[in-house]
Parts: sequence; C-alpha cells; structure tokens
Amino acid sequence: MVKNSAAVKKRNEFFREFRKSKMLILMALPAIIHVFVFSYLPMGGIVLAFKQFRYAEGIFGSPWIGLENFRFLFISGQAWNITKNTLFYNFLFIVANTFLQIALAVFLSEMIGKWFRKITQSLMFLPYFISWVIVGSIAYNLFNYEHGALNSLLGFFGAEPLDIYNNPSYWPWILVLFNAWKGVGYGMVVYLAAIVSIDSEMYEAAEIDGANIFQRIRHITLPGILPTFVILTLLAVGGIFRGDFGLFYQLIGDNGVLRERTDIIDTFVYRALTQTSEIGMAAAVGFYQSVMCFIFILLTNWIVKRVQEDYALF
Amino acid sequence: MKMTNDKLLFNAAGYIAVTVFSVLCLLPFILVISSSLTSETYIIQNGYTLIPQDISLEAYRLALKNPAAILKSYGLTIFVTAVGTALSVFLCTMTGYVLQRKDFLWRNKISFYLFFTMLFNGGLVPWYILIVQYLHMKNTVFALFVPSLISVWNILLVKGFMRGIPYEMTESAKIDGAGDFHIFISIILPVSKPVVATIGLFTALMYWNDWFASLLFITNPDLYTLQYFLYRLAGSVQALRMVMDKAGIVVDTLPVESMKMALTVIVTGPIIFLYPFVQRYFVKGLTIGSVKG
Amino acid sequence: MAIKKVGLFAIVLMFAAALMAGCSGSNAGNDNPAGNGGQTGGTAETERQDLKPAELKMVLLGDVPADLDVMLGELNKLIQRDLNATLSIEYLAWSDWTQKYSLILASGEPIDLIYTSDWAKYVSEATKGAFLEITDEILTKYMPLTKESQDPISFEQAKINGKIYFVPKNSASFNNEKAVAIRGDLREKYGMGPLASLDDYRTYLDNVAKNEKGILAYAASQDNGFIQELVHEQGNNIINVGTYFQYSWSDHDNLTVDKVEYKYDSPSFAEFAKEMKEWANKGYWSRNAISNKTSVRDAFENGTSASMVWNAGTVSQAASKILQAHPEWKPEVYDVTPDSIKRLGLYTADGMAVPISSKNPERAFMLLDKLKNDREYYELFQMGIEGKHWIRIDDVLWKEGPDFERFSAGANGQWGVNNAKFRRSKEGAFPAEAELDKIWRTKVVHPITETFVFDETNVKNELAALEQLRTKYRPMLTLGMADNVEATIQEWRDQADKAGLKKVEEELKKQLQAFLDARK
Repeated sequence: MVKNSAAVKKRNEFFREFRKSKMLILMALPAIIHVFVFSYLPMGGIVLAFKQFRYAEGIFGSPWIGLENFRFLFISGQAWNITKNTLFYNFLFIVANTFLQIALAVFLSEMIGKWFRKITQSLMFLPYFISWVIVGSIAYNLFNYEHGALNSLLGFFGAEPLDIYNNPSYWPWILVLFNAWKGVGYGMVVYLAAIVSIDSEMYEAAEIDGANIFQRIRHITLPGILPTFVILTLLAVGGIFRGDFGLFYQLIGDNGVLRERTDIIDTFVYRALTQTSEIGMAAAVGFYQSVMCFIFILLTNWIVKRVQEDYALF
Repeated sequence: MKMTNDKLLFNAAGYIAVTVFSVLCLLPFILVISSSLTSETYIIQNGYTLIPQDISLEAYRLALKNPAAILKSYGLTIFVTAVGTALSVFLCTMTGYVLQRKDFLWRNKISFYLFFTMLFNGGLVPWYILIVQYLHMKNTVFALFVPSLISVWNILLVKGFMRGIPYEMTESAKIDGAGDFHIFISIILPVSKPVVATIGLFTALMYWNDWFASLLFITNPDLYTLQYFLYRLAGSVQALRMVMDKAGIVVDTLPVESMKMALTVIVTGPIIFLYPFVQRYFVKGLTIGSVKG
Repeated sequence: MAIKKVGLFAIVLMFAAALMAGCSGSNAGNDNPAGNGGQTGGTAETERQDLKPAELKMVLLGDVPADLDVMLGELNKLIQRDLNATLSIEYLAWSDWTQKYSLILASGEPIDLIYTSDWAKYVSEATKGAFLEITDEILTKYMPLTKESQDPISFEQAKINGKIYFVPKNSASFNNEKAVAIRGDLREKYGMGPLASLDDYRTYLDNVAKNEKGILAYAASQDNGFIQELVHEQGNNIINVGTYFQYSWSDHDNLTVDKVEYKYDSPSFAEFAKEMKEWANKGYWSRNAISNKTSVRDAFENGTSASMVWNAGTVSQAASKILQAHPEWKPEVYDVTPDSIKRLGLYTADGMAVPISSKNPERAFMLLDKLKNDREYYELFQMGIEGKHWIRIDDVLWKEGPDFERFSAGANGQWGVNNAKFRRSKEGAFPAEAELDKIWRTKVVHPITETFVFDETNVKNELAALEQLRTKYRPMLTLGMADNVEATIQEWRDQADKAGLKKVEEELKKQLQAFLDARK
C-alpha cells in the first residue's frame, strides 16, 4: 500500500506538471523531436565500436568482438601520450582563449572611438574564414628554415635562423597562438553580448560613487559576465577530449620529429585508419572520447552545482 | 565625458592591444588576397607575398569559369543560410527560454537529455544511413539545413543569458493572463537582443561555411554550396598526388595554390558584411534598461 | 490567447511539414530501378526485348567532367539498344572519396558498378563483404568477351583467399618503375654525359647542390618515398611483400619464407638511410622537407628543383610541359637503373566491382563486358565524343578536340575498364615514355609473390599501431633528419616490437607459406 501510493504520487505529480507546463513543453517539443531523430536514433551506431562490421549483415547483424577494436589504441604505447596531449592542449586553449576574449571584449565595450571599435571587431573576425589548410601553408611560408619570413627577418637583424619544424619545444606556443588567433575574434562576441547585457545603471551609480574604470571593471563587469564564463567553460569541458583535427593536422602533418609533443587522439586515429577503413575502430575511439568527456563534465557540472546551482548546465 | 587618468591608461592599453591583434588578423587575409592575384609559378618559387607579384588573374578566371554555377551556388547558400538561420534561431531561443524557467520542473532533465547528445554520437555511418536511406534527404535542399537545425550549444547559451532576465517579468505577465508563448515573443525576446544576435551570427556563419553536409549528401552539382567548392579543390591536391603515383595516371595540374586563395576570397566576401550589420545589437541598454523604464 | 496558441501550432506544423517534406523529398535515380534485370540465360547478345528496362548507377572517382551528360547521352543510346538499360554516373571527388567510399557502401544504397583498386579500398572493402564474387559462371554467362580476352594473371592478382571480388583492368603499364627527369642545361654545364646509372645521378645531384643557388638538387617533400623506391628498392632489386617486408630478387627462384625479412631491419635499408643523411647534409633538399607540401613535380616544373623522380609517364608529361614553357631548360628523361628488374604494375591497380547492394547485377556485368571490350563503347566512355572532345589520327594516335577541357580523356575515373587492345597515345607526347616502355617490356619479370594478397583482418590492430610508427620514423630516415641513423632505426624496431611486429610477421609468413605451397 505504501509503495503503491508513492508510485501513484509520482504519477500524479507527472501529470500535474504536464498540465501546468503544457505550453512550455510544446515550445520545447520541436527541439526534443529533432534531437531524438537526428542524434538519438543514430546513436545506436555506437555498438559498432564493439563489432566487426560486415556489409552484408549491416550494423545490427555484424558479429560482436568485445573490446577488440580498442586494442590498437593501447598496443601502440601511445594511449597515455595522446590523451595527455589532447587534454593539455585543450586546457591551454581554453585558458588562453578565455583570457583574450574577455580582455578584448572589455576593451571593446569601454573604449572610446566608435569607428575604431566597429572596424577592429570586424577585422578580428577574419581569421575564422581562413581554413586550416591555408593556415598550414602560411605557417610553412613563415617558419621554413631557408626561405621563411621569420628567418629572413631574423637574418635582417643579424640573428641566427630558427629551425622551427625540427624543434618540438616551440610548438606548444605556436599551437596556442594560432588557435587563439583563429578563434578569439569569434568567441569574443559572446562575452561582448554578456557585457552589454549588464544593467548600465550599475555603472552610472558606481561612477557617481567615485569608482575608476578599473574598479568598475573589477566589481561590475567581471562578476556580470561570470555566468557566461561558467557556461562557456562547462561547454568547453564537455569537449575536452576532442581535439581540433584541422589545426593539428595541417600545421604539423606527418612530422615525426614533432610527433611526441603534439600528437592528439584525433590525429592518431586519422593516421591509423587511413590505411584500413575499419568502421568499428573509428567508432571505438569516438566512444572512448565520449566516455572520458562524460566523466569530466559530470564531475565539473556537479562541482558548479554545489557552488551556485543556477550556473550549472543541467 | 571627462578623460580622467584611469580612462587614459585604459584606452591606451586598449588601443595597443586591439590594434596589435587586429593587425595580426588582417595581415594573413591580405596575404590571401594578394596571393590570389599572384601567378602560381611565383608562389611555388617564392611563397606567399603581401603585395601581389607577377600579377595573374588566372586563378579567378579558372574559379569563375562557370559563372552560372557560382551564381547558383551563391543563391543556394544564401537561401540555406537565411532559412536555416531563421528557423534555428527561433527554435533554439524558444527552447532556451523554456529551459531556464525556474517553475518548470523538468528543465534539468531535458537539459541533460539535450546535452547528452553533445557527448555521445553514433558516428558517420548511422547518421548517413538515417538521412539517406530512411529520411530520403539525399540530393535535397533539406539535407543542407534540417539536420543541423538544433544546436544544443546555442540552446544552453540562450538559457544562461535569459536567466539574467528577472523572473518578475514573466510572473507579472502570467498574472495578467498571458500565455507562455506570448510572453516569450512579446516580452522576453525584445530584451534578449544581444544573445539572439550572437547565436544568429554564429548560426548564419555555420550554415554559410558548411561543406560537410554537401560532402555527405549532395552529388548533384546544382546543390553544391560555396564552401564545398573550396573544400573539394583544397583537398584534391593530396589525393591527386597519391593517385598519380599509384595508378600511373597523368592528370594535369591546376594552379592550386593561387586558386585556393581566390576561392577563399570569393566565398568569404559577402559574409564579412554580416557582422557589421549585426553589431548594432551589441549596444548597452538594450536589455534591462527597458524593464525599469 | 487562442490566436497565440494557433500561432505556435502553426509554427510547429510548419516545422513538421518541413521535416516530412524532407522525408519524401524528390531524388531521382537513387531509388530502386524500375525493373529487375531478368534474363533468359543465353549468352548471345541479339535480341534484348527479353530484358526488362533497368537503370544502372556507376560510381567513379574524380571530379565531374563538364560534358558528362553529353557523353552519357550518346553512350546511353548504345546501352539502350543493346541492353535495354540506362546508365547514370556519380563521382566521388578527390577531396571526399576516402570518407565517402565506405559510407555509400555501408548505407546500402543501390549501386551497380563501382571503381575499386588495390589502392582504392579493394581489399579492405572486399573482406567486409562489400562486393559480389566474380565466379566462372558469371564470366561465362554475362561477360564472355572478358572471359576470352582478359589476361589470366589479372585474376590471380585479384584473389583474396581464393576468391575474386572485382574485375581488374585489362592493361598493365610500368606505373611503378621510377625514372628520372633532369635539366639538360645543367647537365651540359657540368660537362656530364647522359645519365646511365645511379652513380651518374648522384654526380648530377652533387654538382647542382655544390654550385647552384636558388635551386634544389631534388626538392624532396613529405616522406621521400620515390627516392626510397629508386635508390633502395630498384637499386637493390628488392621486392616488397606488404608494407613491412621484402626479399631480394636473387632469392626469388628458391624463395622460402625465411628469406623474407623485415624491411627496416635490413642492412640495405640502413645503408640507404645513411646515404640519405649525407644527401640531406649536402643540402640536396630543404631542411624542412618533412613539412614541405609542394610536390617534387611542381617544383621541377617551376624551376625550384633540378630533378624529379616519378614513373615514366608522369616524368614524361612534366618534361613535355617544360619543353613548351622553358625549352632552354632542355628536360631529359633517363632510366638510371637500367639493369634492375622491370615489373609491370599490377592489373589490380584499376578495376570495377559490383557491390552487393546492386539490384541489377547481371545487367551490370553485361555492361561492364561491353565497356571493356567493345571499341565503340570504350572510346565513347573513355574519350568522349569524337570530333568534339578528341580527334582521331589513326588507330593509335589522337589529339585534343575543340572541347577537350569539357571531357578530358583518361582523367575522368574510367581507368577501371582500361584495355591494352585499345591503348592510345597522344600526339606530341614526350617520346621517353614510349621508348622506355618498349625496352622494359622485353625485360619484364613476374615475381611469384605478385599475386599474393595479405588478409589483414587478424592483425588490423597491430597494423594500425605500426602505421603510427612508420609515419613517424620513416620520413626522418628517408629525409636524413635523424641525428643518429642506427640508433633511430633501432628505436623504431624496439617500438615496432612492442606494437606487435612479431605477430604481424608470423601471420604474414603463415599466409605466404600457404600461398607458396598452393603453387607448387
């Protein structure tokens, strides 16, 4: 009797909420349906990670082979290194990009000179349009030992040329810089939107109270964009085990000298699978990345929830 | 507005930082434009240049060899971008609003339901099979915008921004008898211009730049989007080399380097003007100001 | 309120309508063809009213030629007449095909003929069961012309575990033997005679590197594979088995599996790697060659490389291009390993398969038979419309027609049906290719391992891991970038062992032994 009433209670609660929020549910329905069709239905394909795919049998008929598809990740001895690199670079990217995006957004929202602001904002967007393929070629033009622009410049000042492509230690810097260059103009827009959403009366009040611009930024702007910062960072953590394939592949390619320092999961897999076209193995890696991202985001989201429930993603 | 010392320092620092960064962003683009006007031979011998050398319009001539096709592609891309963006922004903002309503009991569950799809996906094969075999969208214009209509990232961003809108606004409207949808359209949206403009911009850019949908689902040249042209050319060089080696086929080479640049210019051209257009929504006072007033 | 509710419903409805419309969107030619290709079982090609109409779809690699529909218009007249069918062709662009190939096969959409080859996924897809088996019955019933004229070696080369899953082309050329193109003006400058050996080539490279500024002796890029093939493999008469193993031609006649060794362990490779280090130190190529994406062919044609190594056909084409643009450079083509064994490229380097998703396999085979063996079909399919795209000079020579750009012979993915009987030469081609071809044909050998296909299913993980190492270490050694050659080779070997090299070696030798036994 007690158990029944708990179940009944739950069911009543369900219907009550349903009736109360009918309109809200309806408004969210298109997204729910779309996501079901285009994301949840194909998700069944994850089983491919555990199967030996054969065309005649299709996805569901192909034989199970357990964890066999995951082996290639680990027998190469590289699993730890590529995971570490992926995490390491993503972490650096998040930190560097966030810092630059916020800094630039703050400047651009407070600076004087309307036309300067408008023009530079548009200029900062340009890198987004240049594909990594072209950026890779530009980088080669810049950095190559004999004819690169960098070494020509150094030579002009009488300095020794740098052999960038044979020296792994330069590359974390180079990758962070290039990644920032490409993404900051784009990502800054969100912070800009956040800043202009802050109640302008607060600024006026603070100014009257005698706060200078740095104090206003510290006490109004930064706290004001904190929710945005948390969301963006959480969303980024949700992808922390996935690397930007284009960036790494086009800039580094198959340069064995740089491999140890710059290989990430995505480039590793691409290389492994260009020879064979093992659908199961590709699915296995994707699954590995998903699971790791999942664990990380659950943890991070939970922490955020404890501190300030409103800011959490779910 | 008085220019006090702190303002001076701030602006000075700002001008330096912004100028440096803007120049760094502009220079490579100038490189691209200039190289598109330089002859292929010069590029292979000397690399890219900031000022066009040995000027040659060959790349543009080849790229625009079929102006009808490019114009059609432009038209198609504009259509897909406009329709896709309008629909997507509408649906994502609406969903984002629903998910931040504190009085909605299921908001966290649905948020998780949506977010989960950002983590796990079944891979290309089931996605392809679904869209081609079951939904029959191959070689239709729908394949170009329907599958990417819902962006969970955008929804969650909107959710976060709308949380800044005081719940009192919704509450007082509800007391007046307004329905949720009406509240969303007439009250919430007008004060959410910055975030709507943001995801509008991002969505438009996403559609404009997308080549992946074309790669997977389009074989009919009438339905090629602009970026797909570029992608095909850029990727073909590496593959061609392999083919020439293995199969002993002698395929004539194109002025690939300068053509990649020319295509970048052609494709990027129009969309650059979208951002300045959208910038007017990034002005203070568009949001909360109207509440108090 | 009611109005607002209606508004929302309207929007949801519109969305649903869009989705539904997408579901039933029109897409001609992709659904199941009208009828099934029934046949009476006879082999004569006389009356075709017994065949129900069929729509056939073919998938090829490459970019869509501008005049594809024009050519198909004419070709379909023949196909309609003889087979009561129509053909449509879909192209997988070079930029896409590695991703799309498996995808379209996996999706099960009906495809009747598809290009495949040993470098275009034949083995990996066939072992997953993507293609129909080519049995003797099929050849007899549907491809009589092919059965009669196809070189039997080609089928041997296509066998995987004793079964054949595609029909190779019927022509073989020396597309793997490397030749060298150099700048005649530079050769004369250093008072050298024509190049007759690898040593001559070495002298040439040396002269250029020492004395010329602004031009590299050999502008190597990425993995320097061609130099490895020329200097290490051709220079030492080495025959490859799979990616990682080799044996020497001198062992061929008494070949046993223990004579097959791990390639990168062999003394000849170590010697080669050391020589590459010398070449790098002497500045034959850029220090950053490893990241250089410009092909040596482009560099040679544009004057930044003094020599080029590739197969005879490509080298000749580059030479003829230079002859037009810079005749003062006097391009020359040489075989610098004239005494090395000459091997024809595999027939399996091009071919056509019928996927299991085909709804009209019999008709597909019949069409393939015609495309390969009927001159009228062949010339239309390969070269386009006579007079428009190409101009016939005689049975062998041809030249470009006024609309050549709109349908360029040989560049539209049709190599799968190549037939030596109909082989043509373009007028004005650089003579070297034909000359070398003539000489080499008198020296052709057919190593017994030519038809050995390694089934990788059991060691796919190890191979994936080994591939990582190979792409890391090989370029370092072939471009002379390693500080200590022997130490690097050893390091690679150690890593390879950990990645399962032994297992791969055992598997390969096991399969090879079975293969050799079957041939006794």
